[in-house]
Amino acid sequence: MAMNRDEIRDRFSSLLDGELEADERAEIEAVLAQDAELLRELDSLKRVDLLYRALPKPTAPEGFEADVRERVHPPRIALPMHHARRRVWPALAAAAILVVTVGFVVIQMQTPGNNFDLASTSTPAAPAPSASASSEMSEKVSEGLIDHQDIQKLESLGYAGTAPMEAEHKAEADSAGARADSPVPASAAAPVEVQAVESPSPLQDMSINTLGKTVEPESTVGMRVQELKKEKQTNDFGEVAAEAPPMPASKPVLSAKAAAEASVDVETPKPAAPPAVSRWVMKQEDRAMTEESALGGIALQPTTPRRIANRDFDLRDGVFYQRGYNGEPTVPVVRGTKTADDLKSKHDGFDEIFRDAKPFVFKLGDRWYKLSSPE
Amino acid sequence: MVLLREARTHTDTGLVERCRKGDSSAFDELVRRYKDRVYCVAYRYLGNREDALDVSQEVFVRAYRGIGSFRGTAQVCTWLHSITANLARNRLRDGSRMGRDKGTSLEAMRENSPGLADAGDGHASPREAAIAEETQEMLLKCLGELPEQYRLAFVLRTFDDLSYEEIAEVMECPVGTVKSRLNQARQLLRDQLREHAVI
Repeated sequence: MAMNRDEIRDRFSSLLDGELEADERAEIEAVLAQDAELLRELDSLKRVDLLYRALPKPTAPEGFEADVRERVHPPRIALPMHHARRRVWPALAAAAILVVTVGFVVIQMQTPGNNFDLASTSTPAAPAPSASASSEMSEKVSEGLIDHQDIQKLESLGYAGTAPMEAEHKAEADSAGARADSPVPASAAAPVEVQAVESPSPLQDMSINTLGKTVEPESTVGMRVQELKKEKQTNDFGEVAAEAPPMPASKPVLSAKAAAEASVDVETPKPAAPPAVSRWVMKQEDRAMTEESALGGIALQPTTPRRIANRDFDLRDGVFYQRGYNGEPTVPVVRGTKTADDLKSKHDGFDEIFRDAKPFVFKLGDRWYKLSSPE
Repeated sequence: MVLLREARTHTDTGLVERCRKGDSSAFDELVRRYKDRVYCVAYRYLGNREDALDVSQEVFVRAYRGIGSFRGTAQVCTWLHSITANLARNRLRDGSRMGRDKGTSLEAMRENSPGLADAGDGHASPREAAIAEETQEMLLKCLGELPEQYRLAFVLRTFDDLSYEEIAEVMECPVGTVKSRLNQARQLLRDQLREHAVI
């Protein structure tokens, strides 16, 4: 059926766009060939189309892509510099502390001969002093009430012949060991009643009044003390070695902490057990003890001082300490060596200490020296 | 730059896939490919440069966010034009609510279409150039006065050469409707241009 004029008009747009089927297109073209009016209408539409297609095509302005990118991925708001610093520095500090701590632990674990490892710290190697006994001992000692028997017990367990500070080190070591061995129940320790006795006789240089208190077994004291002593003796000349500070005579008090840890069992000394604490922990305790000793340490009875070159020296644990010495690092000097001779020649009045057989700790200039005889 | 060069070798579908995987360079390439087409349609449909810019940028933002839901059955260009059409319609309605002139004034066209002043082949006399400019202004004005559906169909066909099927897809209507709308649009434009003695 042939299309009427309106149906042909409705297809003008499709005809212009080439969207008509071939037969439809042929039919319309046949009609248009005979209908001038329809042909003019088609031409006018074609002209409209051409006019609009001739318009310039707008293009996206410059920066369009960047704007879209910014909207899609908005940049982070930059904090002012001082805010950024506030955020960064605590994190850096925390990271640094973490790295140093982890590194230190790793190094200690890998050090030959170091018994620090998780297994050793968690294995109860020997009965540890109970907390209650330690506490009692702490009170006793902090009040200056340890008696001679206590000291003898300390000696029998390896404290003998050591300086007061070393005893403290041992106590600290035991304390650390006890903490590391915390799984050991307090009841496992056999408490021993120590009689309160007035003790006029000093232990070497020490003289301590006590009351009787309960003390508990101790395991690794002697071994730890020996280790500490070895550490101190391995210092070479020229190196500044940490020296156990002497006890100031004016402050004859044992630190409560050290005393609390010095809980030992006189009756049943145990064989040396593997240390249950790392060396670095010991050294930290060591430093802590040094600080404590500067404030107050094991009760000591000052001996007759010697006066040499206008300086007073107190004898403690077989060593003459120049007064004023508070545990500063010392430079070891051995009598008869060139260094000793140099010191002797440069400082008048010190001949006496170079002739003596006992060790001397003295100050020359801004340094502390420990003069000892060759072994 | 390497990523961008590589992205340019991909098909639209490949770019969409890469966009889904978080390849920002692929999305940049999509923007680069379609920004002018999207902007042109938006501009001719809205008759306003600023609105066209806002809408066309928003088209790509929406596309980026919705790229996960792009089924891939449609072409990327029709998908983008669909978004453009929806956003542009919303913009027109918002403009109407705000009392903005629905049509496009000659002054506004002149302001928004600096290219109109350069109409012509560049060798025309001042009189011919003025006539050409006036003609273009009138064309745009008449276009702006078309009903939205007719205008959109006409713009998609005339300025982006979409097929009827593609226009139907964009406008979500049958192809027959597209034919009808296009035919109506051209007849209306012709009548208006005759009124203004343009043709």
